[in-house]
Amino acid sequence: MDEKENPYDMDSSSFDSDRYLEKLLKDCSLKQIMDTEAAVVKDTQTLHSDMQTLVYENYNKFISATDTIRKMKDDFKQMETDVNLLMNKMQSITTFSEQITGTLQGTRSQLCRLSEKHSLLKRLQFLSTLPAKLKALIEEQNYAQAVQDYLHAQKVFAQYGRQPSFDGIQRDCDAIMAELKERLRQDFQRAGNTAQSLTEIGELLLQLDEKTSDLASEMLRCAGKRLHEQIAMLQDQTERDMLEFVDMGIEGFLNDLALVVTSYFDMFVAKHYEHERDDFQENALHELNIFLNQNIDSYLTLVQDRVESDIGFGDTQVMLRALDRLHRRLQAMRNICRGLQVQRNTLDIIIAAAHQLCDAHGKSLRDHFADSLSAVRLSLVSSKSDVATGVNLNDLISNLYVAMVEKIKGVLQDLLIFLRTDWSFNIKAEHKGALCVEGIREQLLIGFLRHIAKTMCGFADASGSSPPNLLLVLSKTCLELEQQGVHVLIALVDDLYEIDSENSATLTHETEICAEMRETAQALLDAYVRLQGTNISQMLRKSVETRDWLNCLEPRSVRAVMKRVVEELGSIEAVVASLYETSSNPGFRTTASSDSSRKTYFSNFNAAKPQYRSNWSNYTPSQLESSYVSNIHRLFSERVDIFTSVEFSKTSIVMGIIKIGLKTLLECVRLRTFSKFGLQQIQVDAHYLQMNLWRFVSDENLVNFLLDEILGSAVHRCLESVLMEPNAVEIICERG
Amino acid sequence: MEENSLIYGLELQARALTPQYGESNDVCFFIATNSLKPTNQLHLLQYDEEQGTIQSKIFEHALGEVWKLNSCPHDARLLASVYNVQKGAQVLSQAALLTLPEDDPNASDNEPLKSEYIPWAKVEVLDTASLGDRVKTIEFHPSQEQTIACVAGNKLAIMQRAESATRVVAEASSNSSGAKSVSSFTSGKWSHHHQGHQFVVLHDSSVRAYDVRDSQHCAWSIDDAHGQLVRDLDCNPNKQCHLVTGGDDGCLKVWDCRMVKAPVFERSDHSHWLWSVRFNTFHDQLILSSSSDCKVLLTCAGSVSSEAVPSDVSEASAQERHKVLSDGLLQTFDQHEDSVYCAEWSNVDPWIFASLSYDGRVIISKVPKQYKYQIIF
Repeated sequence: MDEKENPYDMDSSSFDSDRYLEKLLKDCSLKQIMDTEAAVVKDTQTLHSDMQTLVYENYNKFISATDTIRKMKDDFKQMETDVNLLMNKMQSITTFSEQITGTLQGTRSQLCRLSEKHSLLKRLQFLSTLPAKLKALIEEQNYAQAVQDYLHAQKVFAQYGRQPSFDGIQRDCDAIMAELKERLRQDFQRAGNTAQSLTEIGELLLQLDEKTSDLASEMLRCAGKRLHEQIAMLQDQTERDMLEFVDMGIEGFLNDLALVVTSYFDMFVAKHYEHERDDFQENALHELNIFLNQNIDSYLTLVQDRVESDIGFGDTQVMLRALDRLHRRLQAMRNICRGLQVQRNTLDIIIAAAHQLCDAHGKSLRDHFADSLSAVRLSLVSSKSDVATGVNLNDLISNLYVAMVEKIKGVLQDLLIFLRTDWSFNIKAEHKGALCVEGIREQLLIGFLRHIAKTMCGFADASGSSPPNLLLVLSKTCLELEQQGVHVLIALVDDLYEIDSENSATLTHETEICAEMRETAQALLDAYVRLQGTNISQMLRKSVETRDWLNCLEPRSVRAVMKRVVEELGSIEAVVASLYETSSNPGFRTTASSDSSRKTYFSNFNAAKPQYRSNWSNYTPSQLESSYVSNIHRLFSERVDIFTSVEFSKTSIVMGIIKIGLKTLLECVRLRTFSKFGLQQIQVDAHYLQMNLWRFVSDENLVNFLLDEILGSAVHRCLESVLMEPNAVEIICERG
Repeated sequence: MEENSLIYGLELQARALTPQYGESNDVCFFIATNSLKPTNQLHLLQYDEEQGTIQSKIFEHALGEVWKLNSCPHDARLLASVYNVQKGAQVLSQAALLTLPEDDPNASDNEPLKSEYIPWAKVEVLDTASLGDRVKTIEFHPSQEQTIACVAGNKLAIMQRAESATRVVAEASSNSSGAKSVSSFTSGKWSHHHQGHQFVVLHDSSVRAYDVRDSQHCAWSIDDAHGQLVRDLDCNPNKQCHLVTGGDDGCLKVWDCRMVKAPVFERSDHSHWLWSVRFNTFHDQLILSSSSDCKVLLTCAGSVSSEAVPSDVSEASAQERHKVLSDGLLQTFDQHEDSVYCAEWSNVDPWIFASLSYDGRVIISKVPKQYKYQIIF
């Protein structure tokens, strides 16, 4: 099969009988050869007979074809005679036709003349009936047709005007047309015209050769009047919603305006008038520009007023849809005519609306904040007796915080409507708009956060008027805002409005606000500590001032006020602990000694902490005489800063309160003079405090230092400084 | 700051400090100790600015521990002290007028006096028995040399020294029944204005002004001026009706006594009780306050001072205005290590003041230069 020509294939043209035979003889057995031979013989015979049959059939066909050709030859002969006959007849027709044409020639020219005359007569008739017709048309108020006809006739008059018979007609027509003109002019000036008819009349007057410049200014004046009416009408539509309002404006006012402008443009600006000055078109365009801007201005002012009065009350989306529609329409108007500029932009209105809405939202946020603050305050005051205030406080904080953050988020989402991508306008594209968007961030969010900080700070300043727990709640809220809220909100606004605050020089950075919040939280916490401290102070001061320390009995018990102070501190700690982490690592507690040895602190403390000025009870009274000792002692001991800023932790807060209280006690003690027993009472009290205060604080040494100062001062102020036996003190304190 | 201040130490506790008002050339302060031991002293300190030294003259105050000192503006040698004496099981507060010796022989007798206390020229114990046993302060009248006011217990009395006459002008009304709860006046001061007829006293948390010509006539009062006890006050010497108060709530407030509803200026920079507040006599926007938080603060209250720029002044002074110090805390002086009970401006040099802490440390400091220049120019 690969070879094209197989020499062993008998049907192939390249059959080689010798090679075939050779191959046969070589390859096959005798029997096979004999079979092959028989097959070949048989094939040969079959082929031969086939050939004979084919030759016979072809012969028959040839014979029948010969017959047919002979028959055709006969038919053509007959046809030839028919064609000759036809030729003769056609020749006779031609001659006849020529005869007829010759006969009719004269009549045809006559007909032509007649028809010409007819049309001339018709025209004459039109002219003679023209005055009547014009009158009729004017009567029917079909001014357009009348003018059409008149102009038509005008041409004829121009042609034949010199003939006296036409003169009369022309005069009549002119009179009628003058009247028409007058009437048209009146119509033109009438106030009630729509812009459409105004345009039509204008066109007619132009055709009647009115002075173009007069007409132009007249047209603007009339259109202006008409548009003004529409604006006045729109002004009254206060009960309709914004969308309807804008639709009405678009359909009535803007469409009319567009019509006037386009027709004016077509009539006066686009066409060239021979008889006007060269700069007429330029002037007309200028006039038109002024006219257009004036009207758009007054309309947009109306819209703006409307927006200003509506924003914040109605559905912002509806309003924006309306403004969007207006924007599109104005955009379209802008493309009406070349050479016209509409200065004022709807975008300004939208931006102004956004600003206004921002302000409105800002105000509502502030109101809401003030409301929730007073709610918090109320619930704090009302639940004063509640034991479980701790839980309460946490709830209050989270309520206040969550409500605030959610409200802000809501507002931010709400304002996002201005940036929807399916509006035809893009606020951010313009500089003013971008500023506005930044304004949302700066004025609304940052402004509000600042407002929060400021308001809360106000609570810290108003000394004594706010309940202490309120300060604590507000402080914690500020702290939460600082740690979370500010970041979340600013990230949200940056994300929503795609503001790149990180790289902006003008925008407020997050850290600024955080710092402000933290300051506020700190101020509030300080105020809380101060307030609670003064409360404790008040108790201690009154107790020291009212007692006669010179004439008191030997101490038998701890004074009740000390117990009350400890109780008070306990409840303060409970409240503070509910807000600030209780898991203050015990490892950080700098204990002077273990619990068991604490009770015997007074008896052996000279070995415990010599660097902390707590050695006074070691001195004999004679040593105490010399104040040098204490002064020298001060020199070598490290200065203990009593009044430092409070940290946001439970122990620091409570410590701050304790410090103020103890300092007060110290001051009060210094103002009095003590007898022996008075001093011993102070000793007992101090020991009691020392036993009870350690659990509130992280740095016990500071408490001990202050208590030492108190006792030291009492020793100084004592007429007979004899301290009690430490064991006795202990027993009294244990007894409670 | 360091080179700006000078320290003088006492051996005993001290709570009384006053400038020598009668002296007009040198910067002088009196201080006195407050100790139960019988060795109380009174020191006259003279500050020499050129050499940066303090010279002291020491007097003995044998009457008892001194709680309050006031010097007479008319006589440099006269001063009044309030002190405690023990009488059995009672401690009484009394007052005395002390007169310094003449200066002239001092020059020659300097040597022998060195180890000794300088003797007083005259010691006059005031008769305050009728006023009770709790004398708080003796205040010299700013213009009438012979008139002194005495605040004692719940009474305010005016004494005429020449006539040795005592007249009780006002008595604190006891708000509640029971003798114990009658709270006494804390302190008091003459008003610089009103022709010297007004005396302002402090009573618990309120401030009251009495007209001394008419007993029990309360000219005006500020109730609840502070959240707690009002410790000290000072009248603005240059601006009528303005006074400053300091209280246990740690607040410093400037009041206009014609508008007693709210203070016109308020700060709360101290973290504990305010023990003294003083207007600078020359530049009354500077207010000095001392507190038991061991700090002395210099505060500027320019907006309510007599040098305040009226709000309707034209452009020309607008340029000046931004040079004016802004209100608020100017400087903290924290060299004291104990409660500072007194801080006083010098009556001679407007830029110098002294402060005294309980541990007996007197510090004479100056207003930092930058503020000084800002005020002068």
